[in-house]
Amino acid sequence: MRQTEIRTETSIRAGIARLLARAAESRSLNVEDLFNRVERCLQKYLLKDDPLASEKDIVAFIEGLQADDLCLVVACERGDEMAWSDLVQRYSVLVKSAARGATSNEDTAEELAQSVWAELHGLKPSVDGRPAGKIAYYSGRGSLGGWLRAVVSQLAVDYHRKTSKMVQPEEEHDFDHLVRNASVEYNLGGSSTANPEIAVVEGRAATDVERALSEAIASLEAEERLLIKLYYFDGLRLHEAGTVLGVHEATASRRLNRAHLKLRKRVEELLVSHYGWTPVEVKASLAQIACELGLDIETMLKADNVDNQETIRNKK
Amino acid sequence: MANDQEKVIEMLLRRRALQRNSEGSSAGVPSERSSPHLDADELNAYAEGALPSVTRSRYSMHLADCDNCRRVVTQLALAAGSTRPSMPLETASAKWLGRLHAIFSARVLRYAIPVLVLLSITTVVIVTMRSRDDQPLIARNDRPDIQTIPPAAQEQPPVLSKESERTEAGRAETPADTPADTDRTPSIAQKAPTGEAIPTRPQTDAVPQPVRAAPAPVQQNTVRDDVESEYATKTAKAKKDESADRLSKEESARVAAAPASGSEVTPRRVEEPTAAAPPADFRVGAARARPKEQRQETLTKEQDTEETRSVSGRRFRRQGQAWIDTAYSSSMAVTNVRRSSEQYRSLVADEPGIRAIADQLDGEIIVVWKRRAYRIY
Repeated sequence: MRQTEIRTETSIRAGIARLLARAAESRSLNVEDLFNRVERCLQKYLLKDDPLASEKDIVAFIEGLQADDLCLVVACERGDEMAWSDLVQRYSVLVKSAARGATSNEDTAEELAQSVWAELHGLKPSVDGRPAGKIAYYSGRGSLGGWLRAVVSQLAVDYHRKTSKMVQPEEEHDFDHLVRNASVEYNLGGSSTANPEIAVVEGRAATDVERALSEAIASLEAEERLLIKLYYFDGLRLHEAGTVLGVHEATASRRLNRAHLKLRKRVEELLVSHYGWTPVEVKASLAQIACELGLDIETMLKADNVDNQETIRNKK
Repeated sequence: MANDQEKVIEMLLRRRALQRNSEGSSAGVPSERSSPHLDADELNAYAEGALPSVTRSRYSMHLADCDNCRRVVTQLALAAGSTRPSMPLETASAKWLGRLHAIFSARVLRYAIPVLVLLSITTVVIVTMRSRDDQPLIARNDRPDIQTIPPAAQEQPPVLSKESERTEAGRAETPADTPADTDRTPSIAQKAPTGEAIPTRPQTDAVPQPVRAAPAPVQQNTVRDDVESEYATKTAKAKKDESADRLSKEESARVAAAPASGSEVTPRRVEEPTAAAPPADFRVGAARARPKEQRQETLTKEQDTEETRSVSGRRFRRQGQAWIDTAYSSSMAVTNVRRSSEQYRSLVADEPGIRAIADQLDGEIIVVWKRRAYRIY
């Protein structure tokens, strides 16, 4: 075990040396300056899920780090004023742009951008007297620009939570939706016939289908479930969902079709095994539900469009 | 039916999404199943695809359940996606591409390239060596005359070495007109086709003989003739003396045997072979030129005399070791053709009649063919 640790440490040091060599601007840093940060990054992203990672994997992981961004950030953390100046000069526009995207107006965006730099620099000094800011959390795995956008997004959420004025109209908006949906659900169960008994039966059938669907979604693989959420719940297009997953649009489409098939089979199995349906009932009921759902979704979409227009008017 | 059922699933999902969006998401509170929220570094690393696959699966599980983190990742991914290179397409042929990539990977090529280079160098060397080996064969084939002349042919003395002693003014005489003169042989005015005497044999006592201008290997013929003539000169003299002694003895014996019969003694040449005991040189020449069966047939078919012979409608008379066409005159240009030469083969291929004559007559032949004299030896 000890030998493994020694070998790992040797590999890390060798990897850091190569990282400094390939950096365009190493900012007078040495292996010791980067060792702790790289080791933390390794533990977080590789060794936590794969403790038996080989030296080759460790070397490949360190090779994938952003050398220049990491050197810049570590130099900033060490109090290098020149490095801070470079950081602000290079990324001030990006931070402002991300802040504008996360907020509704220019003033808020300006405030948000200023708070980002403050958070990065850190208001409270650390034990050794150096500023302890969020910049210490950058691992070098992704790009510094992307990390700054993520920081802006998270700070924007916190900023929105602090300002209650932005939240309130949405809450009222949500309440209206709840009322409308309750009536729609009721209509789904009783839309096909005036007979209350049949309506109850149909209502139970719909409930069974909904529950089976929930269980079927939960049984999907993580990436399939994520794709379903991105496409249906987040309203992304296929190529956008593919971008998030890091695959081509056609690949995303194929995966979505596969997920549909899996869901259908799982729903049918659950309806038969858990809810006592017969295969004939399954096929017949699903067809009927599809017809009714079509009408229902149309109604819901219309209502949703109206609400969106109101929200836009309120924001203006 | 399957499409309808898949539509059901799609519609159910859309409906659920609309309901959920209307109710408001529970993004602020992580569910029991999901892990803690992802920090900015993790979100960014996921959005940029900079995570190991195992770690990515773990984060995907959280993102599927956490709307907030998923929203941030979506924003980061779309912002980064505009600058990232296009994603690879996962197709059914991706496996084959993966295999090809594995075959042609740097690791494999590191060893494969030196091996390929070595193989190609070896192939080039082998081909070069084989082509060099073939060249002597080609060279050998270009020099058939010297190599393929049988020993018997080389031993045949050119009779004209003696005839060359004669002057240009001498003419060929018929046996009836010419008294027995062992040394008399028809003089042959060797002329080149152009009228200029081209010496072909470096004989000290010989009249220069023209060389037949063959279409291509004129120089070769000259060289061959020179070599052959040198050898022929040496052997000719020796045999000349030998045959002269033998014939003189035979002549005297014959004369002594029938002095009073009054029969006309057909003068015999010194070189003329007897029917009973042909001279050694004649036998050698015969062995080379004609098989035994053909000789016997010739003797039975034709009008065979000791001095003349009729072959293929032409009459040849014997003069020494040579058979001279009666149509020959000394004013004619003579073309020398060795029996085993390429020149001879070409000649008989073009003129089969000459071949028939050469096959039936041994030794040296002078035949007139199409107003042209050929000396075949």
